[in-house]
Amino acid sequence: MDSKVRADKFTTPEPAELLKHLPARIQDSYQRFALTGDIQAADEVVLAIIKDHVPTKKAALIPTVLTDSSTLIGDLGIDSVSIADALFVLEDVFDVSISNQDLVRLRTVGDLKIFLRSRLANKSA
Amino acid sequence: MPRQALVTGLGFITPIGNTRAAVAQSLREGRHGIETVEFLGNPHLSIKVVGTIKEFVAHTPNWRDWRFPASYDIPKEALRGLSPHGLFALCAIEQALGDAQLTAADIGDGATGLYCASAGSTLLAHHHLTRLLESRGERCGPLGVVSSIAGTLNFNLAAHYGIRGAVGGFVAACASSSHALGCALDDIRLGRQKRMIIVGAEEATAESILPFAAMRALSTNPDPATASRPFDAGRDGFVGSGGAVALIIEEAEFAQQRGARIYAEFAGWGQAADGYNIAISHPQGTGLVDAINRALQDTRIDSGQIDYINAHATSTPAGDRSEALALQTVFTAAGHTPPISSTKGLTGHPLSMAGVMEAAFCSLAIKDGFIPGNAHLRDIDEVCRGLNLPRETLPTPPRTVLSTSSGFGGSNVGLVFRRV
Repeated sequence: MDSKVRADKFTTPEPAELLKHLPARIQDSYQRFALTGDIQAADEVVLAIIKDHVPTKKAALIPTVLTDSSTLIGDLGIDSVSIADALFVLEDVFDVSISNQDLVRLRTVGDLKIFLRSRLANKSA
Repeated sequence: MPRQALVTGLGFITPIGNTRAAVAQSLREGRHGIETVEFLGNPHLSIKVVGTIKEFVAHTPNWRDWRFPASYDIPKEALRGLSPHGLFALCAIEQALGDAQLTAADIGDGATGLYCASAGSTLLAHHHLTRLLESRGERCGPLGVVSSIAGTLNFNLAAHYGIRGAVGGFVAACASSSHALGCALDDIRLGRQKRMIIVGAEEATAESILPFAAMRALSTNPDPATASRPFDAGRDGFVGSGGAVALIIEEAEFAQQRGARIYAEFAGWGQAADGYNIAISHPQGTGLVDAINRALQDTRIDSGQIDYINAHATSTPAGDRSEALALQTVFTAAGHTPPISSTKGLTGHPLSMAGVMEAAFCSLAIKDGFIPGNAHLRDIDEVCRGLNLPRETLPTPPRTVLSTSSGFGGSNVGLVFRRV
């Protein structure tokens, strides 16, 4: 589904509302991305949303475990339902659509960052 | 000797208190938990009162906006799939486990089961379906199903606590948690489980309560002190309420071996349906008569041995009438007049959670040695003649107690608890 077509048909929640529980610097990063298209700022938001879905018992490991090669399920302990929830937030925040076919290719943090970067690049193109 | 089941733990999030001690005090002192509310910001609604859930703010779809006592340490991965009544249920179970001197580590070995009673979260169902419909089917929160459909309590709580025994949900409106209790007792008796946790919960939101106003089932009396008055001639409907109550039963030898504190024996149960109407109880209470007789039979006692009845009576004109007639048939006609009270005068009617809440009240009454009175009962309805309806709390310790429940579709349940 083309995100531009989709966005015309119905409204999505405001990103500010979806990110309000995250640290202020993440909300600033989103604003920077929204205003300037700064892709590194978008990466920071993506990482924050992933971290937010890491289960509490794994949270202490984030500083050492959260790298581009970290697997979402194996290293970070995010179950597939929580991955779906994280993707739902990412879809709303960045107004993109992630299909089931896309999902099976998203194993690591790096996969997700690269995927989002390409979607955002296509959107702005 | 068949296996016995003992009540060993209670947890309360109720309009009349969020701890065992507060609930016992409210029951003894006849202190109600009903407050004035304005649903949906609409002052024109005729429903003005509800049995409120104190210390919690959880009437919105986003779990991040919820507030609850800091003593409950709930990880966000558990909160994410919960509905508001799931939050209440989890807190009630935490209390019940503490009360029974158990930890989460004690209940994951397969010997413990979990039965839940819930009508689902209409709040969250509406929230997620609104998004689904507005997006013409394209957008819906991934946790929409597990947080909102009627099995939401069992899905979330069994996963959170790692329960590997019997797990299930019961859906019979206001008889739901009594069915859950009865089936849990059967599992103990059959040797299938050593321990069962039973929990019932309701949200008390506009979405869960106001649909009953459309049925003309709710009181339009704006006075919190008199709106819920079961068996009173002036009663005009029930007062909705919510929260959660959890109750733990254990096989007697198993409980005694670990030195568990015992509230009461859960001694028997029975159920029978009216086969009459989708929502209205049988005018003569025939299904309830059968349910009570089956409960007495199951306990191997006769009606003369019951010395307190916690009635379902919700304060509706038709329901209380049917129950009064049923109690006359089983008790008064046999020459017995045990004290009868409906504690819904204090709590309002919390629907799915009513049965387990009142079972827990009966357990407290047995353990602490008192009989709750009929709060707000002023003019006893003529139809209640021959029934012993004390207004004030009696200091009499009850030995054998009957608790009744009736739900839509004419489901009736009797539960019997006995002093050990």
